[in-house]
Amino acid sequence: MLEHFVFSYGFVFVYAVFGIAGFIVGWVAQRGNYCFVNAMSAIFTTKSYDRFGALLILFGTSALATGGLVAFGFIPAVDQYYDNYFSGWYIIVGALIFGFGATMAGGCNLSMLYRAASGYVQNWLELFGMMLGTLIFAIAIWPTQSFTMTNGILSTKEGAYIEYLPYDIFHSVAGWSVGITALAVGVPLVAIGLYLQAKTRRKWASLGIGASAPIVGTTMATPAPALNSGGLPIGGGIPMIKPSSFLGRIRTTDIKNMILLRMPYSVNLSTALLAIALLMVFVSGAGYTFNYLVITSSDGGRFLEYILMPFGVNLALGTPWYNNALAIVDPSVLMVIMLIVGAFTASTLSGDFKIRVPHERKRLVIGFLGGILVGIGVRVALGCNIGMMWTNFAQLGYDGILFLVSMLGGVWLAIKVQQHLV
Amino acid sequence: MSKQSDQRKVFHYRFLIAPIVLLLFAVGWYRFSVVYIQGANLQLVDHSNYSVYVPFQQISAYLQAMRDFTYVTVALALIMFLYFLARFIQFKRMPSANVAANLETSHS
Repeated sequence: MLEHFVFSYGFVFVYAVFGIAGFIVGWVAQRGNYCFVNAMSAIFTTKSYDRFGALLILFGTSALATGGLVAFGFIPAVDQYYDNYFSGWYIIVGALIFGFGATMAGGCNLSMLYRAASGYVQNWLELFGMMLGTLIFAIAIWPTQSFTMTNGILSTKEGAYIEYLPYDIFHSVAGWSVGITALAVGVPLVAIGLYLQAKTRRKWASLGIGASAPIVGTTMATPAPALNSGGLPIGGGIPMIKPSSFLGRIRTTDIKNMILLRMPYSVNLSTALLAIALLMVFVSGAGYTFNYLVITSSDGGRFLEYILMPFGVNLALGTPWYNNALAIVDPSVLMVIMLIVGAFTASTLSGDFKIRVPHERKRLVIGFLGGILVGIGVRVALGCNIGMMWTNFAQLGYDGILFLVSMLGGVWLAIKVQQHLV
Repeated sequence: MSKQSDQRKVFHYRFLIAPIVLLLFAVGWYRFSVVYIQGANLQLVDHSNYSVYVPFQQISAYLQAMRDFTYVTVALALIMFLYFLARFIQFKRMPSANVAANLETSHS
């Protein structure tokens, strides 16, 4: 915790903004069916880069926006880099395990939550698996991992500005160095993202599938992906939504339908709204707390801690990691609770909510086992696809790049395994 | 009659139950926070574990914000319940209304 508060509004306001941001993230992700694993698996199954392009745009705009606020002096640089983590073997190994587990289980940390709140039983089990995975990590892995981190074995020994690209490149955290770095990181990401989206849409156009293809429930009118033994798309059995349209091409009737919850949000609209949620947290939390979006990587562990409390068990008293690395409560708890409320409200009002049990019961087992891997992976990597990967791009660090590449490897591996199982 | 218009005459009880679940979740979480999270935090002080202990200023801010969100969520849930209740009554008054069970299962 920093002693110098950037704004003087106090902790209640900070918690409130985090809660509102959580509600927005839950609502938007549910309406946009936003899933990092889905975006990555589509690359390998349907050769579709539309959603992956959106992810790169999300990372790029986040880096540009947070870097811009620091470069122009609105937020001190220390509040951008203060919570940059160590870097090392654990990022690569953890992201690989996470990518594999999340693809098998059927959702990344974000989609796991909003889909669980929309009635997907498989994702409930993934969440419970994640809690168990966190406990396994805490007892079996954390003592060794923290030893390697402390002693610099395949690891940096410090985080913060040591991991901050403006410092690494220019040996300065002045506004100009942050601004140049933000442009160097953000612009290529946005450009590549837009290029990939345009490429995919050209492909759809050649196949006669336009961006204005009619929506039928949550299915999408793209080329049918390969199916696994459960009859679900390989890549986690995640329902895919229709090809999104660019913000500028949305018609008035589309806006009306989106407001009335008759139509899912387009992928780029969802991206823009998620980036706004991140900025809300970045500005309001500056100087107070970890001022980025954190979804469940820590809270997966916390929820197990909370579930055990009524039984008189307090993991924070004696269990490794719980007793020295996980504050009993922080603003992210409120964010996750409100994320669930937002996703649940959106799914109920739109008529999407339904208790969905897979016909094939083995998918429940796979969901649970995948969840355990998710729990282990995110803790080993010191964060999930939100709290580590996306956040680190906004922090102008380099761990996010390591996480992204490694997670892609895990997703690819899981798809190969699923194809083998079909 | 088209299939689409047939579907419009189906009302699922889950729309009435969902707001109640939301309301209970919000109230339950707030009560849980007051009783257990605060209690566990005090337990940490008793055991001199200050590395994961949360200072009073922050935990009271969490509880205050959580309380406000609970009020908002309860209000939201009640509005949703009344909205779906009105729709339910509307459906019941229709001669060919078909009220379906809420906990049907389907393929994810």
